Parts: sequence; structure tokens; C-alpha cells
Amino acid sequence: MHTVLTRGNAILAYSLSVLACLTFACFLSTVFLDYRTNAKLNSVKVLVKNVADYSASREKHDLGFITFDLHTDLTSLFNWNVKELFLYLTAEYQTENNELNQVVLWDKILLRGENAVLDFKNMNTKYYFWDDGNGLKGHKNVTLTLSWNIIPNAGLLPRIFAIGEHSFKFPDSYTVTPV
Amino acid sequence: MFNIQTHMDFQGQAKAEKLSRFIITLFGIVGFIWGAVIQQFFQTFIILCAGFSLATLVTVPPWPIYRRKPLNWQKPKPESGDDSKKKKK
Amino acid sequence: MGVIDQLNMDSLFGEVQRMDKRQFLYQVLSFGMIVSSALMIWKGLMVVTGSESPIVVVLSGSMEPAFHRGDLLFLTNYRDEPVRVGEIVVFKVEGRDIPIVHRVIKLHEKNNGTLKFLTKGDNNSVDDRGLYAPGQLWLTKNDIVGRAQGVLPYVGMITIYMNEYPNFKDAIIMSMLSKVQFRISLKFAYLRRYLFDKACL
Repeated sequence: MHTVLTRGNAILAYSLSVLACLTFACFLSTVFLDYRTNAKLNSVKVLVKNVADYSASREKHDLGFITFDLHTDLTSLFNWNVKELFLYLTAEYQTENNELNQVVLWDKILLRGENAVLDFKNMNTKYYFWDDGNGLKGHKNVTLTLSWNIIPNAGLLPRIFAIGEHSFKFPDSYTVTPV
Repeated sequence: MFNIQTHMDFQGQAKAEKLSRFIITLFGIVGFIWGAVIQQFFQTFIILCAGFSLATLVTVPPWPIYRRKPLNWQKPKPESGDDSKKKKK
Repeated sequence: MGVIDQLNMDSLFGEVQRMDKRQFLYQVLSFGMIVSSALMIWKGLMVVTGSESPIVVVLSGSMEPAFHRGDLLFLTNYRDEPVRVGEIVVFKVEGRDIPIVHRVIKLHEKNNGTLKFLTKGDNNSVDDRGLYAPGQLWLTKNDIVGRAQGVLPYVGMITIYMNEYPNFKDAIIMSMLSKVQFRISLKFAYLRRYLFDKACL
């Protein structure tokens, strides 16, 4: 503490350690919170086509088309250690080829301060619903779930499933005409 | 470097350190509580920065209050013992 | 070998002679402590997390606004923990030396446990097939370096600055040394670089 430099250094170092402690305390104050909430999902239009997947193998694969309704209020999930919610809508199903298929159809970045009451009607998906083969036609049980990945200022990155999911069937025949 | 006295006496140093820690800790705690109340961690950070600035202002420059108790050095002895002393220092 | 040469040179220059031998040894040892404890923590984390690089710094903006340049990510890589969609993984692609941090958006798992998945950066408009090796359509479990479990903002900026401005790196090492004895650290350019590069890798 003798020279100006050592005093300045000591103060800076101490401030930084206090900041680290506060950040950790902020993390602790939010880590045990329950981030689950309800979401209402519904599929509106569902059809399936069989076309060549040029982005992957170039073979003919099943391509599903759906539109969906979504209603949820995520306002309560935000607190001082939530910077962003990454919302994503997953279609999960089982086929002969694969025990588990998960395809993200739609996602949304929801920053803190933005309107967190979501009400979508007849939304189109953001990504193509390609199957890894020809497993979609006539599929009896495809489950749609909404999940969110919580992005904190500092802390863990939990992925939470919304309460409420929706299952739907694909039609038994391919749609030939362009949609 | 510059012809400015920058030192503090020993008790001044102790005082400066205690004071700076107190200021920063206080601002940290107050900032944390305030940030928790309005749910904005950024405000906590700003308040801590304010504490840092205040502590810098109050304890880094060698204000006169940190120099009230200078050490009473012994008067230099006559020439003869000078060389050996320097080495020991 | 290099270290010993340097020590002799220093004593030739007479810097050391002004210092106590014990003081000098103390300086060397305490610097060794810093380096070896850093190494120990790193290797220990590797064991605990199962990931070959348990802490990574985000270098690009492809995951914004979730992660920015300079954020620190904590990774784990437990083999028996299943990969699921929505997870943020760090993976290596053949022909690229820098691992990529992106989100899994599509996944197919066979009965025998083989897994293939596709990733995409939150801030990118298309999936990562263009980033993979030519002809590669999917990632597998072996490509994963780790999965992101936690994030700490800004702290990684230090290492980014260190890589971009070598002088800054020297300044940091110097200030680390200066806590013990400032004068002599000026003479240690070679030793600094030797030890620090080893610790970094």
C-alpha cells in the first residue's frame, strides 16, 4: 500500500473479487428456481410429401409440412439472471430406422424485455421437416413439444420442457401437388 | 518520476486499506440488494463501479490525513559508520 | 536447458548479485507455483468433466445474442449422457483447427445407439452443413469436444487480448512476477515465453 500504483492495484483487485462474489450470489439466487410453465400447442395443417433431399443424401425422403398454433406466457421466467430464452419447437417420433428422431421445426430468440406473451395462429415452420428415410407417411404418433434453453448472464444453461405437448398423425398418402 | 510526494506513513496505509475495503464492500452489498429488488444485475455492477471510483478517489492519492504520523528517523551519524550501514539496508 | 542458460546470463549481468540468493529462489519457486497450479487445475478439470478442453472462450458471434465474443463456456463430455436437440455442443470438424460452438437442431438415434446430428448457430440463417468437411452431412458423438453447461461473460476477453497483442501478454506475466521482484523480471523474456507457452498449450 506504499505507492499509488500498489494502492490502485489493490483496490482494483478487491473490486474484481467483490464483483465475482456478487455474480456468484446472483447465480445462486436464481439457480434453484422452477422454470417450467404451460404452453398450448396444436397442429393445424399436416401433410407429407416424398421428394429428393438435395441438402443431404439426394435420395427421396419424406418431407413433412405442418402449421401450428402456439399460446404461452413466459413473462414469469425472466429474472435478473436471465438474459435470453431460446425457444424451440421439437417434433419427436420413432421410426423403423431410428429409435429416436428429434427435429427442431421452429425456434425463437426471446430477449429479456421483449414481449413474452406468445400467441401464434397457423404458424409456418422455420426449418424443413425432413425424415431420415421414409418414415413419416402414415406415422401415428409425432409429438410436438416446446422447450426453452435459458441463457443466463452467468450460470448454468438448463433446457426446460414446457408443460403440455401435442401429438398428431401424418396422412396415409403423399401429397403430390405443390403446397 | 514526478516531483510529487506519493507515500503514506504506515498508519496511513493501514487506514487507506481498511477504508477502501469498507467502501467497496458497502457499495457491493447495497448494489446487490438494490439490484435484487429491481431485478437488474447491471445496476449492481454500476453501483459497485461507483464504489470503486469513490474508493480510488479517497484512498489512492496521498491525502494529508494519511500522513499525520511520519516516522521519527534517527539523525544521521557522523561519516565513519556510513558504508557498512548502507550494505545492511 | 534454456532456463539454466538464462539464469547464468542474468548473474553475468549482475542483476542477481544485488538480490539475496534465497529471495531469488523464492521468486523462481513462486512463479513455478503459479504455472503448476494452473496446469493442475486444468488437468483436474479435464478428469472431472471428461472433456479435453473443459473451458473454452467464444471467438465468434454465431451464437449471439446468447454468447458473445469473449464469453467463457464450461463444458462437460460424459459419454453416456445422451445428446438431445436444443443442446449447445462444441465440436471439431476435420480440416479446421478451431472447434465450433453451435446448437443441435436435428438428431437421429438408431437402436444400437449410433447417433447422427446436425447443428446450427443461433445467429446463422442456415445449418452447419457448409461448415463440415466436404461431403459430411452429419456429426457423430466422436466429433463432440464438449457440451456447454455454463457460461461466464467477458472473462475470456483476457485470453483474446493476449493472443492478439503479445505485448499485453508480456505485461500480464510481468505484473505477475513484479509482485515478487520487478527489476529482475525484465531480464526473463525468454523464460517467460517458455513457461507461459507451455502452460497455455
